[in-house]
Amino acid sequence: MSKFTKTGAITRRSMLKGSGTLALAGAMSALPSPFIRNAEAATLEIRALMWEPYVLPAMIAEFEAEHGVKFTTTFFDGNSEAYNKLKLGGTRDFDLAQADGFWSRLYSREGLIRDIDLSKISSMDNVFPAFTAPEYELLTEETSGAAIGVPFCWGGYGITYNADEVSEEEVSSLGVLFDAEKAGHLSASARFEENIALAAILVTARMGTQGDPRPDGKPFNPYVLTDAELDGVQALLIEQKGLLMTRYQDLGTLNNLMRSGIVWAAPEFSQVFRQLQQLKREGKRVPNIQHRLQAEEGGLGWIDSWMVTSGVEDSEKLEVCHRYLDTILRPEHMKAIADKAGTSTCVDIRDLSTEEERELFLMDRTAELKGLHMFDQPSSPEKWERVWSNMEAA
Amino acid sequence: MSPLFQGWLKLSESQRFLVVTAPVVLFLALFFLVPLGSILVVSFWRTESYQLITDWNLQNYIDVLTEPSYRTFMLRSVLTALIVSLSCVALAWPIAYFVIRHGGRYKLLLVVGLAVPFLTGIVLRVIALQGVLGPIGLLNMGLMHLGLPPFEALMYTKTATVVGLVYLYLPFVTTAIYLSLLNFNFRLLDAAKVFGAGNMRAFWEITWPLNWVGTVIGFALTFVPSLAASITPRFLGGADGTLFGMAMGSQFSATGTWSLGAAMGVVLFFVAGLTLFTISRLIDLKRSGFTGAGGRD
Amino acid sequence: MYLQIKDVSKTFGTFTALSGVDLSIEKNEFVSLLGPSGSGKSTLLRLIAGLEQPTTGQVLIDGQDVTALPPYQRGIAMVFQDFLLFPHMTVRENLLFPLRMLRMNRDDAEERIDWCCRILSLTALKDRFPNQLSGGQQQRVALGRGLVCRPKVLLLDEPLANLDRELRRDMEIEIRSYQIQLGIPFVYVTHNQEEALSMSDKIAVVNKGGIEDFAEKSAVYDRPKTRFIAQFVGRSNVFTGPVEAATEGKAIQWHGQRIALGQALNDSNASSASAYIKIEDTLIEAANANPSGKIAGTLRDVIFRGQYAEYLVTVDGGQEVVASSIDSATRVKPGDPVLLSWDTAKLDVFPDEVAA
Repeated sequence: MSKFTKTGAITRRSMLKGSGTLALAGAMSALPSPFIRNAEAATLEIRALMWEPYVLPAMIAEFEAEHGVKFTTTFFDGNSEAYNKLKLGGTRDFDLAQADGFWSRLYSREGLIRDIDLSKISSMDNVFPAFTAPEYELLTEETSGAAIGVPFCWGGYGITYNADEVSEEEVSSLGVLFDAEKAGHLSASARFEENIALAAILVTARMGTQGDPRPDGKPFNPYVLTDAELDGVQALLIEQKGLLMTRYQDLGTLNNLMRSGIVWAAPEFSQVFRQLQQLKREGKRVPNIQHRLQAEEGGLGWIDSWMVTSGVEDSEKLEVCHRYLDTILRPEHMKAIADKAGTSTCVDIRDLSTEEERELFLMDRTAELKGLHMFDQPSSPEKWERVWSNMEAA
Repeated sequence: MSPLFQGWLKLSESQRFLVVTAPVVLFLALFFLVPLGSILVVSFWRTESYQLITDWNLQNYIDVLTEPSYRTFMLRSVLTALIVSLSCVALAWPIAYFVIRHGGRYKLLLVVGLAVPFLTGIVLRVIALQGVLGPIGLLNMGLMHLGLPPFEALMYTKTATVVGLVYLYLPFVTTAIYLSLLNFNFRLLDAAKVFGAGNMRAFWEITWPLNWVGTVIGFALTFVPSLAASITPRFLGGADGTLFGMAMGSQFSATGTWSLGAAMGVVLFFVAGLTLFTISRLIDLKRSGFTGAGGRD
Repeated sequence: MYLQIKDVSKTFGTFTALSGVDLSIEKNEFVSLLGPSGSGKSTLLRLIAGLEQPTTGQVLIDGQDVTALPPYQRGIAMVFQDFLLFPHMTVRENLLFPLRMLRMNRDDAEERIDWCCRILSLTALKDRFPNQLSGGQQQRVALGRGLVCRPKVLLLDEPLANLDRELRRDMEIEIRSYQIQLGIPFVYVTHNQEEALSMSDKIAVVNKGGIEDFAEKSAVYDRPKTRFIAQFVGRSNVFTGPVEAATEGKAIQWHGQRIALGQALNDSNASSASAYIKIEDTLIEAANANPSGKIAGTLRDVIFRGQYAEYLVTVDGGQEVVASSIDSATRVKPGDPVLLSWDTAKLDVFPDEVAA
C-alpha cells in the first residue's frame, strides 16, 4: 500500500547509499586518529525503516549535529514488506518505522511498536485536528488509547484525469475507470490491494451491499468483502484489464502516459496530478490534468505515520526518537516533504504556502478524509491473491 | 618446510579431499541448499493473513498445478522463453559469426562491446528499453515525427516482453556462440568444400554440429532466466502480460502468500531442471568435436 | 596435358603470392611443389583446389577450364597438413562424406569405403572417432578420404609434416604406391626435399611466387638451373669470390684458394661468381696423396650418419668445407691434414649479380 511503487532508480540509489556508508565507515576506521574511534564509540545510532521520498538529508544532517547522533535509513516499498522486516526480528534492527492506515494498529497488536509520549512532541500542536484522536483513532492503542504513532502525510487514491477528454460528470463515478468507451486510455497501478479495494467500492455500490450487515460486524470497509462481492470484483477487474493501456509500475510511467495524452484517467495518490500541474504552471505544454479525490461511491485514503519500534526501551534513545518526531513535524520540514514527495501534509503549513499550493495540496479539505476508507489489510490475502491471479491470467 | 605443509603431508588422500572440497561444499550449502531447502519447507506450509502456519499440507502444489491461472502463467512463460531463446540463437549466430570472421583485431573489442550493457542492472536496462519501446519512447516518437502511426504492437504487449528479453539475453547467447566459434577450426570448411559441399551444406554439415554445444549452452542461458522473468514483463508486458515469475514474485512482495509462492518456486525449479535435462540429452559429447571426449586407446 | 596452370597470378592486397605461374602435369605423374615456407606453393595448391581464385590466369583439369568452378565441381580431392578430419564423424562417416556429397547410392558407397579401408588398413578402425586415432592412423584416414571418391587429381598439402620420422618414411612409400595404383596425378606440396626427391616423378621448385624450375627430379638435383635451387636442393659447399683467368678457363679466387671452373663462365664477363659442389661430390683423402689441383686442409671432425659420414674440414684459408663419403677406407682422423678435390664438371657456377 505504498504510495511509491518500486522503481529501479530507487532501489539502486538505496544500494549505492548503503555501499557508500560502508565505504565511509571503512575509511574512517582506517584512520589512525584515536579521536574518531572514541567519537564513534560514543555515538548513538537511530535507525529508521521508511519510504525513500520522505528522506530529508539536510534535516537529518542538522539533527545529527544537534543531538550528536547518527541517523541511518533503510527503505521499503509496500507495508507488507516493512511488516515482514519487523516481524523477522527487525524490532532490534530498527528504532523508527513508517506505516499507513490500519497497519499501525496491526503493528501494535503484534507488539512490534511501542507507545509514545505525545507531550514530548510539541509539534503535534500544528497537526490538523482531523488526524488526531478522537477524530482519527488509528494511531492509538485499541484498548488503552495510548498514542502509538504520529501522523505526517495524508492523501487519497482518487482519479487523476485529463479534463480535455473526460468530463467532470463522468469522473464523479468510479465507473469511469471501467468505461469501455475509454479503452486504451485507462491505466491503473500494479498493486493488488488498491485495485481490488477500489473496484470493491464500485461493486458493492452497484450491488447495494454497503449498508448491509458486514462480515466483520463493523461499518462498510472495502477491505472486508463477502465471497459474492469478491466474485463481482474479479469480473469487473477482468473486464477492466482489456481497457488498460498498462498498469503503471512507477510514477514516471504514469506521468509520461498522462502528459502525452495517451492515458485519460487513472487512480493515483495525486502525485502525478501535482507534478503535471507544476509543469503547466512552468508554461510547459501539458493537457488539462485534474484530480477527483472521492467519487460518489466512495474513495480510499491513507495517513502515513511515524512509529517507534518495541526494540526501543525507556532510555536516552527513546528521548532522541521523541525529539526526532518533534523535529520532523515542524512546519518547515513538512513543507520540504510536501515539495519533495508531492504529498499533502497532516501538519498545517498554510502559512508557508501560496494560495495555489493551498488548493493543490488540499490544505483546506482535510475534513474530507472522514469520508475516505482507510488503507487496510485485506480480510483474506489468500482469497484476494486468487482474485488477482485469475484476473491476470484471464 | 612449514608446519602447515608437514601437517598436510600427514593427511590421507581422503582427508585431503575433504579439506580441499569442504569450502566448496560449505559455500554450496550456505548459498544454495539452505535457501532451497527453506523454500521447499515453506511450500508445504500455508499462510493466513500474512501469518505462516506450519501445518504440513499439499494444497499449494494442488493449487499451482490445477488452478487455471497458474497454469496459464506457466504456459505463457514456457512459450515466451522458447520464443526468446530461439530468437536469441537466430540473432546471435550471424552476429558472432560476423565478429569472428570479420572482426579482425577488433574482435575482442566488439565482444566486450556486446557485454557493456551487463555493467548496468537489469532494472535499469528494462527501464531504458521502456524509453525506447513505450508509447512515447524513441521508436514511436520517431515514427510520429515522420508522420507515421505509432507502433502499437510494442507498447505494453507480450511482444514487447519478448523484445525486452531478447535484448537482455542476446549478449549471453552471442558470447556463448562466439566462444564456441573461437575454438572452431574454420579450415574444416575448406575440407568440406573440397569434398563436395557448397557453402550452406558445409555450414549444416560441419559448422553447426561442431558448435552445437555452444549453441545449446546459449539457448539454456536464455531459456532458464526467461522462464523466471519477472521484471521485464512487469515493465513491458502490459496488463495482460503476466508471466509465471512475475506472479511468483508478487506472492512474496505483495500478497504475502509466501507458501504458495514457495510452491511456485519449486515448480519453476523443476520445470527449469527438466528443460536443462532435456537439453543435455540433445548433446552427444562424442559428436561435439571436443578432443579427448572419447579417450584414446 | 591433364592438369594445366596457365599464367596464374595471385595477389592478396598489396602482397603478390604468385606471379605468372605456368605448370603442366601429365596423368600418372607425381609432382612435388618444393619450396621454403612463404614461397607460394600452398597458395598454388589452393588455387588448383579452388579454395582460392586466381587474380589472373586459368586452371584446366582434363581439358576443362575450372577456373570459375567451386572446389566441389572440380573433381579434385585434397589431403591437408593437419588432416582436417571431421571430429564429429567416425572414420566411416569421414570416408562417406565425399560420397554423400556426390549422392552416390548406399551400396556403391559402402563398397568404396570397404575398398578404401582395405587398401589403407582402416577396417578395424571404422567406428572410431578421429580423436581416438594415432597420428599415422589419422593420416591414413585423411588419405582415404582423398581417394575414396576417385578424384581426377589428388592434392596433398604437406601431409607428412606432422608425423614422426619413422612413420614418414613408411608413408612416403605408401603414398607413392597408391599413386601408381590409381594412375592419377598427385600434386604434393612440401618444403622437405627428401620427401620430394623420394616420391616424385617431377619437382617444381617454387620460390618468391614463381617456379624456378620444373623438371625430372634427377635433373633438378644434378643440374640446378638457378642459384636458388643449388642452395635449396641437396647440400653443397659454396665458393664465392672474384673471377680470374686461369691456365684453363676461369677460376674463382676464394680465400687464397683457386677454384678452377673448367668450361664454366667461358662466355661470361662476370667479375665475381659462386660455385656450388654437392658434399657427396666433394672427395677427401689423406694428405700424402698427390696435392696437384687439390685443396689442403685439416680434418676438424667426423660426423657419422650411418651409411655415410660427413667430414668437416678447415681449409688453409680458415674456411670450412664439408665432404661426405661412404668410403670407410678413408682412414683420416680429426687433426690430420687432408686434401679435398672434385670433378670440375660437377661444379654449378652462377655469376654474381652485378651491383647496380
